[in-house]
Amino acid sequence: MRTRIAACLLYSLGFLPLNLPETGMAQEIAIQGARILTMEGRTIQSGTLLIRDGKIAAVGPNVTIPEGARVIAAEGLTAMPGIVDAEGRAPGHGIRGLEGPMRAELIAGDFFDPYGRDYRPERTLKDLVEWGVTSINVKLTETNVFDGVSSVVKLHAPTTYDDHFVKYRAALRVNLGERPRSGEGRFPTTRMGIVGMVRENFIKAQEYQKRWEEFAEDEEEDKAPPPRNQKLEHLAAALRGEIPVMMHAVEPMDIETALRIADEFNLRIILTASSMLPEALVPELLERDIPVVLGTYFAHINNHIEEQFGFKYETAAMLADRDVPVAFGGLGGETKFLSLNAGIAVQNGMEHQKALEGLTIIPARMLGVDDRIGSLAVGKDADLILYRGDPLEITSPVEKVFIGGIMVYERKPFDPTYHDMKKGGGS
Amino acid sequence: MKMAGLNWPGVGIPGGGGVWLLLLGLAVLHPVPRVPLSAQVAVIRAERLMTSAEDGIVGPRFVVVRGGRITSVTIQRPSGLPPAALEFEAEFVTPGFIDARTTLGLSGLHRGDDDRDETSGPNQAHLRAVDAFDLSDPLVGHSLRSGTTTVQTGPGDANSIGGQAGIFKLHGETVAGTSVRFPSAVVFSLDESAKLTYGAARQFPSTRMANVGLIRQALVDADRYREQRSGDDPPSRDLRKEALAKVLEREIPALVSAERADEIATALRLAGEFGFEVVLVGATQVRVALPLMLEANVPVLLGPPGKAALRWEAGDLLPQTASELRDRGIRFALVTGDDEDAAQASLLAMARSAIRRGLTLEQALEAITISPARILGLDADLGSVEEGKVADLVLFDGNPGVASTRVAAVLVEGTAAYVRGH
Amino acid sequence: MRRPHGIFGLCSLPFLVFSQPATATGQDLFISGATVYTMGPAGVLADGDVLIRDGKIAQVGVSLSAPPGVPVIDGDGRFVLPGLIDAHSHIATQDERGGGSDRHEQGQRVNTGLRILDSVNPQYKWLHSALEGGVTVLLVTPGSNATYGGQIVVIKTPPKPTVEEMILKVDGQTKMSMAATMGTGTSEMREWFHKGREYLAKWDRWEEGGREGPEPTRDLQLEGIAKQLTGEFVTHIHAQTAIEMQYALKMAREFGLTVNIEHGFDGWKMVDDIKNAGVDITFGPMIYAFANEAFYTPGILAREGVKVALTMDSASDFEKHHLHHAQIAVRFGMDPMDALRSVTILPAEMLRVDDRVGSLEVGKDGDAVILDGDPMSTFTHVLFTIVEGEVVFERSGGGS
Repeated sequence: MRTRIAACLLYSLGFLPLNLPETGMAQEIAIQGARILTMEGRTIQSGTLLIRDGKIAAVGPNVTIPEGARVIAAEGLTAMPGIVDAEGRAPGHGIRGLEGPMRAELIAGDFFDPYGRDYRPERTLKDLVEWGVTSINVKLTETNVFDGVSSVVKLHAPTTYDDHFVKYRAALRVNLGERPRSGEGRFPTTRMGIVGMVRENFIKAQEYQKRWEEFAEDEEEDKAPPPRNQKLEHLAAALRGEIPVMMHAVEPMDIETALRIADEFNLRIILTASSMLPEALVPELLERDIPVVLGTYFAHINNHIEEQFGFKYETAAMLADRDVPVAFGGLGGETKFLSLNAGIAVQNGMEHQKALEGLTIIPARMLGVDDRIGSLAVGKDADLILYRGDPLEITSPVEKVFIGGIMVYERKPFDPTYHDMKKGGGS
Repeated sequence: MKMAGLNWPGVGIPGGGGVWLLLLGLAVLHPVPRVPLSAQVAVIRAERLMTSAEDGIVGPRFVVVRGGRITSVTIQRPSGLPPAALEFEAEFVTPGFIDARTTLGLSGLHRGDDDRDETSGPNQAHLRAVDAFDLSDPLVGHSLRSGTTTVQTGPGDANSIGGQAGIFKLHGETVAGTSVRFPSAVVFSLDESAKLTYGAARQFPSTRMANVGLIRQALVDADRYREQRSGDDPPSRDLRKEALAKVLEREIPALVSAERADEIATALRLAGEFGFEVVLVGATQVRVALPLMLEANVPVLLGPPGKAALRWEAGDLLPQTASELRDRGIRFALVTGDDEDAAQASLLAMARSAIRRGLTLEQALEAITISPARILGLDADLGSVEEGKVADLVLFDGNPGVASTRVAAVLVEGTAAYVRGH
Repeated sequence: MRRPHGIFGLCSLPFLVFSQPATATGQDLFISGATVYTMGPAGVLADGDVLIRDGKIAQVGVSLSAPPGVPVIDGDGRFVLPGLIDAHSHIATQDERGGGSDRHEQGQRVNTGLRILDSVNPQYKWLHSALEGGVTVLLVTPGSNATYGGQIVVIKTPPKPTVEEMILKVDGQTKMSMAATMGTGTSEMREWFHKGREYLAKWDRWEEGGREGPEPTRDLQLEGIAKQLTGEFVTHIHAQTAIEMQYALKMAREFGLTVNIEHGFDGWKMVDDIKNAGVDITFGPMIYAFANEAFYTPGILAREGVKVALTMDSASDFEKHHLHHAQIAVRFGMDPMDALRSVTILPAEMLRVDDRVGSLEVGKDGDAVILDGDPMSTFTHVLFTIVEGEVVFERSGGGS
C-alpha cells in the first residue's frame, strides 16, 4: 500500500512518469561496487552501501548484503551524498505578494510547491534531480531586506508533503547591499537605510524578547501575555542563537556591514554571495566561525545580481585554503548548475575534496541538518547520487539518484519521440 | 582677404579726444575719464606679448591699432602717433581667445533661457544658432570679460543632428552685426547624448547604432536632394536636407561630438562614406584612435575634462594628449563645448587648468588663439598679434596662466569692449 | 545577381577605408610536440607541431622543426585547438556594469539599416575574458528585442583601438527576432519582405532601363531587407521554441532567405524539419537553464548531420566558459569531437569565414589555443591564446 502511494506521488511530481523504476520503496537496497565519497573523511575505492527503510544501514568496503536485498551493481560508478543547495530558490516560485522590506514573518517552506504546477520546465524538480540535487535550503527573494526564514526541503517525499521538510525554520535571511534598495522612493533607498532598518528591528526584537522573558518570570498568575509578533519572533530566535542569520552581502562594504551587525547583536551569521570578499577579512571570519555561501557562477545570467560584474573565481579556493567553510548555493540563479560551479571552483584552485564537501556536508552543517543529510553515514537519510565519472567534471552524467532510499532518477537513453508527446508544456 | 564681404562692426568709431593711460598691472589705475572707450588709434605697451605667431612670447612690445587692425608690432615705441591715440599699458597681452565650439548665447544663464537642444526629434538640421543667439545673455559678457572674443556657437549635443552653428564676435549691438560666418558647421552627436535623450523614453534612437543609422539615412536623403535640386525637376525646398547638403558639398564641416575611441572611429567612418569634412569635439579618447586620426587628418576640439572624461580615461591625460597631437601634427584647440558645466567655463579657465596639468603657458595660449583660428579658417584675420590682423586683444595685469591674474581690458576689433573697473 | 551587388555593394564600400588591420604583419610562432586537434582533414595529431609564419599557418604535422629565430612554445603534455569561435554574442556593446547598452534598439521594430559595428566599443573589458577562454573570433549581433535587429559583424577578439581593425567580416548577416514578433509577427515580417521586394524591383527597373531617369531613392532599411532577399545577407533568426523555429523556416521558404537559426532550444522536437530545411543552428546558451531535454538537442542534431554551433550568447564574461558549455552538451550525449567542431570549424563555415579560421590548416590564420589538459575536462586551463601568431593571452604562472 505504502509503495502505491509513493508511486502515485512520483507520478504527480513529474519524476520519471511512465518509467518508474521498479525499486520503489524496497525494504533493502544494496549499491555494490561503487567508489564511495562518504564526505565523512574517507573515500572507499570500492564498497557497498546498504539502504534500509530509507536510511543508510551500512557503508564500507566489506558489507554483507542481506538476503532479499535488491542489489544495484555500481561498478565503475561514483557514489556521493545528494547535493544540498545551501541557499536557492524553490521550484515553483513566482508567488506574488512577497514584496516589502520587512517580511521576517514569511517562512519560505510555506511556498515550496513540488507539484509541478509551474509550467516553466526549467523549474521542475526533475531537472534539478537530473543534475544531482536532492535538497534545497529555499529562500524567497533577494530584494526584501528581511526575507523571512528559509526552510531545508528535499526534492522528494516518500509519503506526505511534510516529509519534504528537513528543517522548517532553518535560517533568518537578510539581504544587504544594492538589491534591497527600493527604486520607488519608498524606504529604504540607500544602504544606510537598509542597515538602519535591520538595526531598528533587531533592537525591537531584543525588547520583545525581554517582554516575554519578564512575562515568563513573572509570578503573578493572571497577567496577560505580551502580544505575539510573528516578525519579531523570528528575529528573537536569531538573537537567542537558535537559527543563524544568512546575510546576502556581495560587495566588500556590505560584508563589513554584515560583520558589524553580527557583532552588535551577537548573531550567528552565514555570509552569502560574497565572492568579492577581500582576503583581509578572512581572520575576522575565522574568529567568528562564519561560513560563506558562494553563488553559482552562472547565477547571474537570468538575474541581474551585483556579483556578475565582480565575481571572483579565486575566492572559493582562497577561503577553503584558510579553512573557512565554503558551501555552494544557487542563490538567485540556477540550482541545477551547482556541481558545474564547484567544478569551476576546482579549475580555479579549490581543493577537489573541499569542493565536494561544499556541495554536501558543509551546507548541511551550517544549516544544522547534518544529522540527516550531507554525508553517507550509517543512520543518515539515503540521499545519494551515482555518477559516471568524477562528479565535478561537467561531462560526467548522473546515472541514478536516491532520495530517502527511493530511486527518483535513472538515466535512460534520451528518446525525443516520447518527450515529443508532451511538447505542450515545453518538455 | 579670406574674409571678404564680412562687415566688421565696431571698426572706425570716431574717437573722443584725449589720452587714456592705463597703468595696468601696476595696481594703480589713473582716474579714467567717463567717455566712450573706443578710438581710431590705440597703442598698447605690452611688458610681455603672446604673439601666437612664430616668435611665441616676446619681451616688451608696442602694438599699434588703427581702424580696428594691428598696424605694427615693434620693440621701440613707434613715432608719429596722433596725439589722440589711446594708450594702454599691460603686463601681458594675448590675442583675443577663440572658442571653436560652445553653446554660449544659446545655453542661457537661467533655465528658461536654455535654447540649446530641441528635443522634439533627433534630426534638427534645419535649426540655426543665429535664431537663438542671445548677445544679452549674462554669460556672453562673462566670457568676453575673461578674454573670449570670438566663438563658434550652436545647438547642443542632445540630438543626433543638432542644427547649424555660427561664428560670432562677443561684442556688438546686434546678432547680424556680430556674425562672422553663418552657417559655419552642422552639429552632429555621436556620443551618448542623443541615445540618452530618446532612449530613456524608448524612442528612436536608443542605441549608438541607431544614432548612426539615422544620420546615415539623413545624409543619403540629403545627397539625393542635392542631385535633384540641380536637376530639371527640382523638389520643393527642404531645410533639413539643405543644411546637410552643404556639409556634403564640403561647404561647411560637420562638427561631430565623439568622446570614446569607437565614436571617433564612427565619425571617420561616416566621413569616409559620405566624403564630408569633420571637426571632432570632445574626443576624450583621441589617443586611442590615433592611427585612424593620422590617416584622416581631422582637427580636434578638446572639451573640458568633465565626468565623461573620467569615465573613459584612467585619469586626466590632457597634457599627454596635447603633446601627442602636436607631435603627430594633428590640429587641436581647447573649447568649452556643450558640457554641463560649460556655462560657467571660460577658455581662460580651461587654459589655466591645462597649464596646471602640464601644458606650458605658450602651448595653452596657442590652443585658444591661433589653433582654433586655423581650424575655423579665420587665421588670416584672427588668432595672433601680427601686423595686418584684426585687433582682438586681451590685456592682463600679470601672467595669464596664474589664477590671481586679472583681465584688465579686452579689445575687439580695436574697440575697448571691456576695461576692468568700467 | 546584377542589381543589388552593383549598387548596394558600392554603397557599403567607402567605410571599409579603415578596415585594413593596422597590424597587417602577423608574427611567427612554433608550437612543438603537443596533442593537436586540427579540426581539419588531418584530424588529431598525437605528437604534433604547428608552425605559424607571418601570422598564417605555414605547417602542421609531426616531427617538424622550428626555423631559426622563430619563438617556440613547448607543447609537451598540452593540447592545441584552433582559436575558438562563438557565432553569437553581444560582447562589447554594453559597459562593465551592464549599463549603456547599445545592442537593442528599442525605438523602432525594424532596424535592418542599422549596423552593430556602430555600437561596438572595443574597450569594454569583456573581450579580454573571451581571450581567457580561448575565443578568438566572435560574431557580434544586435539584441533580440526588435523584429529586425540589424546588421551583424564578425570580429577577431583581441581588442584594438577601433573596431575597424578587428573586423574579420562585415555585412553579410542580419538579425531577426521571432520572439519579439509573436502575434502579429509573421504578418509584420511579410509586410516588410514585400516592401523589400518592391524596393528591389524598383532598382531592377531602373537598371534594366539602362539607368535612364532619376535613380530610385536609397533607403537603408529596405536596402538591408533587400540584401536578405537576394541572399547576400544570411538571415540569423532568433527562435527558441519549436513554433518560433517553424515560423523561421516558413519565412525562409516563402522569401527564399538563407537562414541560420539562433538558440534553437526546442530543436529536439523538430529534428526532421530542421534537417529537411537544411538550416544551420547556433545553439545555446545552455546556462540559461532551459529544460534538460533541450540540452540533448546539439547531440541529436549533430548526429543527424545538421551543422550546429554552440554559443554562450555573451554580453559579459561568459565567453570564458565556451569549453565548459561544450562540455554540458557532451554530458547530454553529444560526441566530444562534435562538440569541439561546434566551437571551431562549424561556426567558421556558418559565418563564411572558414577560409581564414576554424581549423589548423596551412594557409589559414595562425589562431590557436593551448590548453594544459583535455579540452573536455572542467579543470583544464587555457594557457595561451594566439591570434595570427601573436600570444594575446597567457595564463599567469601557467605558461612556458
